[in-house]
Amino acid sequence: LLKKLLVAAVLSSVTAFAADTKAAKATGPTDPQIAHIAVTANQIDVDAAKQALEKSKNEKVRQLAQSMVDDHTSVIQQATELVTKLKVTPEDNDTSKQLKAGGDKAKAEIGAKSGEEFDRAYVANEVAYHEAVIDAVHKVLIPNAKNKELKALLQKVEPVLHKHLEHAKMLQKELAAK
Amino acid sequence: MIRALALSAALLSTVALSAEPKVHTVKIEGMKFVPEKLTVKKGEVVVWQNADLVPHTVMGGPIMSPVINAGATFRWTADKAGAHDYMCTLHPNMRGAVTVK
Repeated sequence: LLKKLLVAAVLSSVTAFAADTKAAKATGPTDPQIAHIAVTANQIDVDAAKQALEKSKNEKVRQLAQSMVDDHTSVIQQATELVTKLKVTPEDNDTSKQLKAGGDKAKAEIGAKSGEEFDRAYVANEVAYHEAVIDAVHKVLIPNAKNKELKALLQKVEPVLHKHLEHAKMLQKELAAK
Repeated sequence: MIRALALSAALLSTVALSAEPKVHTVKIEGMKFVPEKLTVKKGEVVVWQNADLVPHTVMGGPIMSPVINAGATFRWTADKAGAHDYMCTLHPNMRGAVTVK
């Protein structure tokens, strides 16, 4: 039952995200909003990974989490440098708010678990989250970005997200086989 | 005259000997090593240039890099002959190879 609840929670936050990205596409997020969404989406994954580093004893889960902290921190740093150079001030928006709320909720639900159950929940969420974010970056953020350098940065983020998804899926299979 | 010529020839060959070894560049881009496979001569240099947004490593056989941050490079002198498969220890299935002849 717990597993079902978790899956439902993850799915609902992903669906909310997808629905919201559709709305954003209709109106089209501006570059300051895109910058804010990008930083928020990266930060959510850093926070989830920090929790995993605190709670998990599984070496492979910890490795995934450490990569998430290092990679997403590096992306945030370069996104921040770029928007500073471009004099774009990231602007909070509904998509960022919903993302943040979804991230907080998932973190609390996963954080209530322990041991192998926690590991599986964290990794499953990483899979679902990266799938949702790849979709949003590809279908909403990149097509709407006006500034060429901002667009190029988002295009460079895409292969990173795909590699993370591949890593999380591989680990998910390993944990399921245990 | 002959002596002067011989001397300058000797000087030239010294310059040729101390010239920088050939440098090969492997770009790390799009979470891949480009080119993935490289063949170099012993004594030549390979530079991995991280053009990605995230840190990487290059590890395998005699090649042992520290963490190469985004925008940074790692330089290695190919001093050991053989086929060296390497990987990024931070990202699974990110592999490359250097053959030193």
